[in-house]
Amino acid sequence: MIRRFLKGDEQAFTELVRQWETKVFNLAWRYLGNREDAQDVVQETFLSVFKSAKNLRDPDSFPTWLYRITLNHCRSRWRRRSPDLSLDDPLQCDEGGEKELTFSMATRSDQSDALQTRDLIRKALMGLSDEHRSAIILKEYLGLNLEEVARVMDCPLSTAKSRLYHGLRGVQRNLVRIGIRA
Amino acid sequence: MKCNEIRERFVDLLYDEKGTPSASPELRDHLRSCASCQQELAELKDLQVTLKVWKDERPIRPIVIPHAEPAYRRMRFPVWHALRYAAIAALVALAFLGISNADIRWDQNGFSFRTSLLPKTAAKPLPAPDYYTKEEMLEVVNRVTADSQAFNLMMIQRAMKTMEQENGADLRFVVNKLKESRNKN
Repeated sequence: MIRRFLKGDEQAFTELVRQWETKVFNLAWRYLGNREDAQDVVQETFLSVFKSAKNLRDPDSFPTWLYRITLNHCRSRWRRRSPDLSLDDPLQCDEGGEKELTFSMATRSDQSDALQTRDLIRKALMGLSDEHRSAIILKEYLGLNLEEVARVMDCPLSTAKSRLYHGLRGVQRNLVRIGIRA
Repeated sequence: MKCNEIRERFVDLLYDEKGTPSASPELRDHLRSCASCQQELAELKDLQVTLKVWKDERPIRPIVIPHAEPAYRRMRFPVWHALRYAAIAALVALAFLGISNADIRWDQNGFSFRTSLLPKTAAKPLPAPDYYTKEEMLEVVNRVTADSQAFNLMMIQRAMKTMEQENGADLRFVVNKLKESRNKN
């Protein structure tokens, strides 16, 4: 499908978008902590992919290339806003939907716990540096192997491992600080 | 090995992937004997489970698929680009010709192009004409006839006839002949 797209098949590009949009969205969402920003990044990413497809020399490295473009757009968006998220911010379920916790029923307690945990994880990730956060998301959520993480981040394997380790420790510290234990 | 050195290598134990350097025997030996490192490794494994609580979701809106521009708008080198560059090149050429005080001629002698940028070569003296002009010829004839006798005059007349018949006759030949006859006389 990637090769067809590189040859100019627009239908192949549509299929490519459908195949990869969820992964790209979740990468951006976990990086930025905001669905709307993540949605914009996804649109910008695929526009960049469409325009610069001729720069991709090896079709097999498409995922790495795609994630790198996504992270670049995430960083641009991050720099444009003031990401001064304090970990002491009131807990919000679903970015402002505190109602969901207030009106959650007993049978939905597991779901609300999950949403609450997700929000805590989101805040803990926001407190990390760009490198640590990127390493965690690429490895833990996108399922890349360590070599692929190093390629996306354009760093040696040992550096990728170090960022991953310090990222995990950073998330752990932040979660403890917020009041949840890993 | 110190705990700080060991802990940076926990990633090898956490993921233990094929193709990457696996945890060394030293690392495993240290873990067996160090409770603090064992606890930290266990906490990191619990953290991995906690992180998985955040599940993937679909994008909130469908992505707008960009489309390629029509072919007529995708010309690699549009005509107006070419016209623009041609206009710029023409202006530069005209400016150069003006600055260099160019002199361009194309006449029966051929094409010539001169600028004041090039050093002027000294004009070569024109070679002596092989042939007299009409006016010079008449002058010579008049001088010769002014002090020549009738015989010379006849010769001159014959010479003139010859010249009428043969274009490009060398008048110097005629003049020299006249002089010789005059000297003999």
